[in-house]
Amino acid sequence: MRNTINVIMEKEGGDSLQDAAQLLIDTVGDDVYHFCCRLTRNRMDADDLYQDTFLKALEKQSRLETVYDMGQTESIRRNRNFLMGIAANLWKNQWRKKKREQKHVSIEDTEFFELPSSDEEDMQIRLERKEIQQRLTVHIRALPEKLKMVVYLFYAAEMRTEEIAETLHIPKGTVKSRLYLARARLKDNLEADGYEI
Amino acid sequence: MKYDIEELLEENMNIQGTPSRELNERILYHDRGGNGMQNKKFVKYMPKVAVAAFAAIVVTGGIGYAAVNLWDRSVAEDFGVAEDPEMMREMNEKGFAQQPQDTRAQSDQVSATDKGITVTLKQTLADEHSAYVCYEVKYGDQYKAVAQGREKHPDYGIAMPWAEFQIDSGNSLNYCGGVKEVIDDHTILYEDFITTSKMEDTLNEGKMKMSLSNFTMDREKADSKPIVMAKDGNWNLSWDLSVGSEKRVYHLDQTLSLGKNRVVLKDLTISPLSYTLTLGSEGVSLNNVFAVVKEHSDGDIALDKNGDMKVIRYVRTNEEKADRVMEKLPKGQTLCSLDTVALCLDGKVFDCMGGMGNGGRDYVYRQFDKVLNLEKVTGTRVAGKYIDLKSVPYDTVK
Repeated sequence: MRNTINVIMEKEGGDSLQDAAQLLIDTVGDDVYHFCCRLTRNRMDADDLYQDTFLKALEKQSRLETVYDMGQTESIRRNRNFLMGIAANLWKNQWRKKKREQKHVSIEDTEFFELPSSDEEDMQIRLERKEIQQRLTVHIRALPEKLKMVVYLFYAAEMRTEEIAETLHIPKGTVKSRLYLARARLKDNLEADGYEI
Repeated sequence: MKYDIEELLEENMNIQGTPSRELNERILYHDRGGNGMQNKKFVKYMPKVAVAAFAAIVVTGGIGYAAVNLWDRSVAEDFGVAEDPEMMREMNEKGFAQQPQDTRAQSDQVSATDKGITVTLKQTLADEHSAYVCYEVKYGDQYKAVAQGREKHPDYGIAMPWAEFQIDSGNSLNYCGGVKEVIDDHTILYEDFITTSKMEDTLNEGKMKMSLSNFTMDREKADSKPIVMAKDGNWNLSWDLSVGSEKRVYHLDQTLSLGKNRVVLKDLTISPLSYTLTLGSEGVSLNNVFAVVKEHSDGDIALDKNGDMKVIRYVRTNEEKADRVMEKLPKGQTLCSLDTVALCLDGKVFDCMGGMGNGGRDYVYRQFDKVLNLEKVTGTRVAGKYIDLKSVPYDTVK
């Protein structure tokens, strides 16, 4: 990884947006990209979402925290969570539009999902597991926005409940209750599909 | 085979990827000239004093955080102000009722007690499609604190009731809600937003029943086995649902030009819970027109047809693209999707998503999930056009 922090320091506070963007990419880029992949489950959409997220974050640069070196883990974490929040919002809006275009989640939408390889694992079990994951993806996307958002932030962004509360500006208790409701609803839906949960 | 929901969710999200160098370069060398960002100083290089000041604001629970908790985040997102604490504060102060004790709502104070748990209805409100219910639950002393910090209780969590809503008019109901406010160690205020399961269904006046059966405590760890606090109890509340207790019908009668097509904005109905814009078009029926808003930053505009349904894919990144789409529309087809619908409160315009959903409907419907103060509505924006509602005649329906 190119250490732009030193570059910026050498520039006595380096004031170009490009350097700032580079620093942001270096510190949180991989995490944000993982998150985009998990949301979109499609590499092309993930690329678009990743790019839009960074451009949006740079527009809202005043919300980003100062980072002078890699040791500032708390600031980096806050920037990471800020970008995750932007990505989730952007995806939510894009998905609403996508939803009008297609009624079903296509196979292509789950291109990222690969089962863990295991020689001993019976093919039928693997297929069923893949099938249940596709159904789960459908059900997650069908969740009400409030519930879906906390599911994405908790499981895909791997945020703690207090971080989600901070990102969404809601009480921590609300995050917990939404997570709880989301899991219960997903469980019910999968059971309605015929799976034993 | 039995599955664990927690395990499935973790597996479902277990996707890794690495951004390509080209992708990162697109961000680094993105032309920002258009939005004036090119030469702006990046505030992240602010002096450490400023960082300390910011930290102090966060630590002391500063300005923004206190305000935004009063109204729902998802509404903020819908209006496009979620990232702007200042605008959220303004919305909070001006546009939406902040407390459940809103005088417009019925306040029947219906109450039920069982197993040491008392449920009390605090507020209800309804329009044709949506209802809002706020209720308080007091947990008796036999229950440990229902929303305490982890430092005091290893099984930290928050108590949640399982509710069902029924109305004697028979339409099935969906709801979404959660904790509104933790009053104290044994009292929680909950709120639910209820809708009919289909837009074609309406909420008719009748007896609304809310039945709570089980109370469970979710835990900090996102496992699937919450603690059961009380079950098989009898907490049944009912009240007369008064639909459409207050709404305004603005008679717009305005024509909006979208490219070669003209869409008539007929009426706008705003209730404290929802926004419904009725549309028409000049010379073309909106029936069977399935309009899809599709946005591509750099892609071509596509018009697709799907069997007998006239499917129009409408790209509306900006006005220019909208015009290009209009030019391509076959004769007899029109656009019925207005992808920017906004409500204006005290003169400030707030974008929100609007859409037709599936099918050829002639209205745009949007449900809020906070009680709107109608007195604060000053205008609306539809597909980029601002309409000053202060000068538009309206009927108040109660």
